[in-house]
Amino acid sequence: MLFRALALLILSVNLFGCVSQPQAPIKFDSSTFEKEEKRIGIVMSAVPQPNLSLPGAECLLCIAVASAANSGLSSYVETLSNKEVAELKQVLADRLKEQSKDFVLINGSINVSELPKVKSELPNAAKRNFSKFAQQHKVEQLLVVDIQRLGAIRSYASYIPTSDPMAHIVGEAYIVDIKTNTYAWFMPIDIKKSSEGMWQEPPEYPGLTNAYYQLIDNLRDSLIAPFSS
Amino acid sequence: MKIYKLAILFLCGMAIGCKQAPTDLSKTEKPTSIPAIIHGSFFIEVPLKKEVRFVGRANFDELHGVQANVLYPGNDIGTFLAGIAVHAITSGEVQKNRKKNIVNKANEILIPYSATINNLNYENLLDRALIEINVDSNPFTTYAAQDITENNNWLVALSPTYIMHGDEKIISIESKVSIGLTGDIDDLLAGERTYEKNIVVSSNPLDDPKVWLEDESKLFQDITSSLLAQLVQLAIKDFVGALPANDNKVETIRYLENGSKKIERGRLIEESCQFVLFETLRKGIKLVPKIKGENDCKLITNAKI
Repeated sequence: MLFRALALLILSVNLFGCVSQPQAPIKFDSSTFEKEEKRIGIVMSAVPQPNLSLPGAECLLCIAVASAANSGLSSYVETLSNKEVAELKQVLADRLKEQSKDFVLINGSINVSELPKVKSELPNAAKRNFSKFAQQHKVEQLLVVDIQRLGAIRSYASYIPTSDPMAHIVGEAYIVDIKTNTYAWFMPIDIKKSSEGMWQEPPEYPGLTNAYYQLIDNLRDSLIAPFSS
Repeated sequence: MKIYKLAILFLCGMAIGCKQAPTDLSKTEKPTSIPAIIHGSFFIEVPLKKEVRFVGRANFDELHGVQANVLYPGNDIGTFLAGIAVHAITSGEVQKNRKKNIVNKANEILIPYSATINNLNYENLLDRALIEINVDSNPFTTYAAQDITENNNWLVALSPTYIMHGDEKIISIESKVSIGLTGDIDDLLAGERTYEKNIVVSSNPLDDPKVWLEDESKLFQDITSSLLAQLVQLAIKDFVGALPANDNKVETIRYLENGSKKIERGRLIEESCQFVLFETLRKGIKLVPKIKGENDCKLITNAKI
């Protein structure tokens, strides 16, 4: 009996311990940013290949049925280009250049999940330690764009679709101050765009293709808006 | 065991059955010149007996779906499948109703214009459009379809819909346009041409939407007939191959719609300082205004397109 209680307690602590508060958005302080003379590095995570996600179809047979029903669309979404998303790094660099900021366009990508975890009581503390990465590139701030999902989404309730497919981008964009390892700016990204007109027009799915490119453009505008004087 | 195999077959059938055959988006064969059997005349047919169709621009971005794991009753396989079928039907109805609500909400923007719209009719719009087309220096002449007196003439059939954008600064016209020879097909020479395309033309954005209803809605009436004229001219020019050829390169086109920037992939045909003309991925044609700040000429307020 005591053993069972202890096991239950350990399990509960583990479960609660795994729950962490998602980072809330932090408004960009343009006046402070403009006055600061800190060197800023611009980096992106590796941009994923577009794919189709089917949340809600989670039982094994549900996955099979949903995947089969959307196989044509899924194959098409995987052919969409992610080049315009990868170019956002240069777009940000051009914007900082216009503002005469001291910046470095960091070659390659950052894998945020491989950075060491950090626990801090400071408000808006970053969950990962960026200091070593920043030191390698000799910057005092890091502007990170981390795109985690790209492509399209179609919601399911087990076997039944509950929405038409929509273009979908998920990720985060933030500025980390290396000295304090806290966020100076944080923008969560979870945006969707529906297809104009019919979506079910294989093989090129023009409505969904346009929605995908519209979404990338919306993302571009959201990312450069804070840096627009 | 047999029942479970049937169940799996049924579910797979549902999945495969949801796929549709590819849509035939357009059929078009463009002649290099207007055939000699006709006189360079095009007869324009509009739905004279119907009301002029005017709608607001609906935005379906809010139609996110609910994602959930559903527990279906499973006393036996029949109950289980029936549960899935009922869920499919109700889910479809829910989505349909949500779309209908969004469309109804978008149409509310037309309330201030309802009196003006009720006074519109296709016959009058066409008469005004024909005057505009025939004044412009086109190598063809246009007439109303009811004036056809002989066969072997080109008939241009439209079913236009007018769209008021959400910011009330732009009106668009959209129509499937079909072009074919009138008369008995058996009597036509070999190589008769047919054409079918979806065409959209948008007006120049206004600075202030109040202008639409000033002076007894003169601008509103002028623009609606002018849009019809532009649409017909575009269709005929495209049909006879008079539009510049596009370089077949798909690029990102940016233009103004519903008060904000719209992005679409397409093949650029032509652009002026105020407008861009391109072929869409659906093989239709759009003539739409550029975004302010991206055009290189001063926008003329209330100008005709």
